[in-house]
Amino acid sequence: VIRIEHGADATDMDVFRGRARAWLAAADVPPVPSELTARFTTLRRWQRTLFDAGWLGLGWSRESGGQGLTALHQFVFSEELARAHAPAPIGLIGLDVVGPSIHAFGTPAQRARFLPPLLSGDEIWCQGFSEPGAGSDLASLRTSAVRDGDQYIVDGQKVWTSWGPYAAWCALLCRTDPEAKPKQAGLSYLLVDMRSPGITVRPIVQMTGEAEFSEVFFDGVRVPSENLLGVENSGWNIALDTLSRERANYTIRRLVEIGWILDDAVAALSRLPLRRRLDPRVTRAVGEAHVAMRVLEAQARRAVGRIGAETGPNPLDSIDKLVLNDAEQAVCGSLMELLGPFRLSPNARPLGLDSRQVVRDHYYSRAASIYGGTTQIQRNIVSERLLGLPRG
Amino acid sequence: MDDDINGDDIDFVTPIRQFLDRRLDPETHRAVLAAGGWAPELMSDLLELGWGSLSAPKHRGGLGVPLPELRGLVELVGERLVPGPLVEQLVLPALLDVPSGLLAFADPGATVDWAAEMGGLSLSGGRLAGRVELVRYGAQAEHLILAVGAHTEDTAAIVVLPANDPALVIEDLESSDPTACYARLTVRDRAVAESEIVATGAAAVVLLTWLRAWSRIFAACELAGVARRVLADTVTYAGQREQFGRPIGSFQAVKHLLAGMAQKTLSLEALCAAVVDDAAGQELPDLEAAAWTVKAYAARAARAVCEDALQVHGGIGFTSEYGLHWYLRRALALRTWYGDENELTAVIGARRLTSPEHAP
Repeated sequence: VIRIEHGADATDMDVFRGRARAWLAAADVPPVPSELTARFTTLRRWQRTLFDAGWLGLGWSRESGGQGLTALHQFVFSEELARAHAPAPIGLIGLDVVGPSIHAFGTPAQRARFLPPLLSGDEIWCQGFSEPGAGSDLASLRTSAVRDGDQYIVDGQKVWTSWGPYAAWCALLCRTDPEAKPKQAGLSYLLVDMRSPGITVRPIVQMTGEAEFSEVFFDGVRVPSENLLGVENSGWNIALDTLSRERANYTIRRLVEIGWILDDAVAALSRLPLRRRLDPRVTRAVGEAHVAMRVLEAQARRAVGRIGAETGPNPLDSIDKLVLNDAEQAVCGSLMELLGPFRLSPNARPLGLDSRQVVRDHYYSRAASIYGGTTQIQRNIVSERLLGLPRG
Repeated sequence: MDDDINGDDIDFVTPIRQFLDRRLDPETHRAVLAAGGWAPELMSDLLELGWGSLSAPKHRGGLGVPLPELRGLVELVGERLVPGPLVEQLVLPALLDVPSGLLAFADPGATVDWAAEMGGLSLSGGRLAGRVELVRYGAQAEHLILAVGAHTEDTAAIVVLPANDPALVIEDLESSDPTACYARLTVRDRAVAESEIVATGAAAVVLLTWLRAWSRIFAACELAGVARRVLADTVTYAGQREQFGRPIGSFQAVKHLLAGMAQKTLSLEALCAAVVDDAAGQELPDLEAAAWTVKAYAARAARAVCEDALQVHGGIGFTSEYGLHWYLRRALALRTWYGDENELTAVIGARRLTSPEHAP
């Protein structure tokens, strides 16, 4: 458990944690189906259950359908949810990324319209940020929104859009000023109804076999101008703000999940005969993974301190992300090393490990240093904004 | 009345930092390092300031500062590369009723993988014998604290002997560690009086486990201090040194090395802080495991930071005139003291796979 150190709040937070834990212990946590549509339906129902019990939008105002508590409360709940081995609600993009932006930058009307169904899972959100030509260089994105009376007309293509075929709304980062210098100053943040004519969604199958990502094509899609979030050409700052807000909840969730991955492996390995268990290759791999976990946990404590202090986007967030990526890759990489040639046989159980699962976890861990800002982008941020080195 | 000192309220670091600013100017520092890491006057000044009694309990005349409160001080030792058996004078008096005066810890447990080469001491029928190949400050200390036996209840003991005891042969060794001296200790067959035995049996095992845990934790904190200093100096250098008409710190290849150094330094500091914060009230097997963990990470991270610093500095870093090599050499020495990452990850893994109730 990550200790919350905020003087008088600490006790309050312990009480809150106790309530969350008791509720989760009694809750009917659903098993997660692997088939995509069934998984979506199950996780959406789970979100509704969490919402009805008052566990979502903890840090948001009551007018927005939230609970009027703090970001730390949401963080503690995320941690307890993961510790209970319970799945995350389906609408994480909405809850962690888009929702906080609407809460911070939206008009009262936008908050009232969008946030309650976002929390309950009635409306699932996807994120339209990356494009085929705009990955690390996100600000070079070219999907355009041209003003036409009280509407924008959107044309372009987005990629890596989670749950695209299931999403009701898309948070779209698009170009409203092609001449702007710097290019960041010409971007806007639009809230787009996915049922609008002119939208086509095409799923992308990944090497893990999963297909929760999509490509989304926009062809003359009309978006009412009242669906502009913030002011025109201010989209870049909104996007940066939300990317930093999502990180703490994501980090704590992954911390717990990676901890489970290691615990499951240790449980399996502990059934081996003592001599095999104490093979140096086995002990070293487990020790490496263990150290990585503790490093991550210590770093998460620092990150939590910053959510409490509400410092906003900070170059230290990039250190957190680098540490998370390394820990995830060290744990999953160390365990993968224990499969030997049996990695190629998904149904095998080398050393008692589930070959299919360990291989999948390892593949997935390799994505960690790519999504949400690559390791190289984070290092640029650290060196320029934390260490103060001159721009090249 | 319980008036134990609470380190949160008292700043131990600033006065010592100011003392070092006065006492250890760059020229003096260089001379001390070049002389092999032994500065008797500096050490006696530090002892005079109370270094040796900071952690000793009040009923033994100390200030009773809990070891976790001294993390900042140990990081400062690393950052300033202060020579002397400074960690020993914090850890040993905190846990053992030992004489005042400079202490050294003759502990074959400072390595696991080289246990066979390190030697050992045995106490049988009241007679002590054996050798320890590497004793930090063995030739400078006034008293030696001897870790006797294997780590088992039937053989373990802790014995304290004056360094000038005729049965002790202490040979000063050449050392590549710029801020510590080492000696080989040989104990000829010697009768040990009851009064010279600090602990035996289960009590000795417990105390040795504590001593080794804190030796590891503080070695990690010292390495964190080294990393912090090396990072800061390397960032400054990369901002000043120009090639191709611009500072080398503006090249992405160099920036990314420095960003990696920052990641390792900050995460090491965070881990040291977490381990130290958790130490109070922790059960001994958990503290032991946390100490393995933080030392394993410190060994890897501090080495990487220093080696990358050398890379960023280029040729100048290899010169004896420029000071970087002292930090690199200290980090590489301290990295192995009480275990590097290779040794300790194996120990940690074995614990996790054999004793789930104290999963580290």
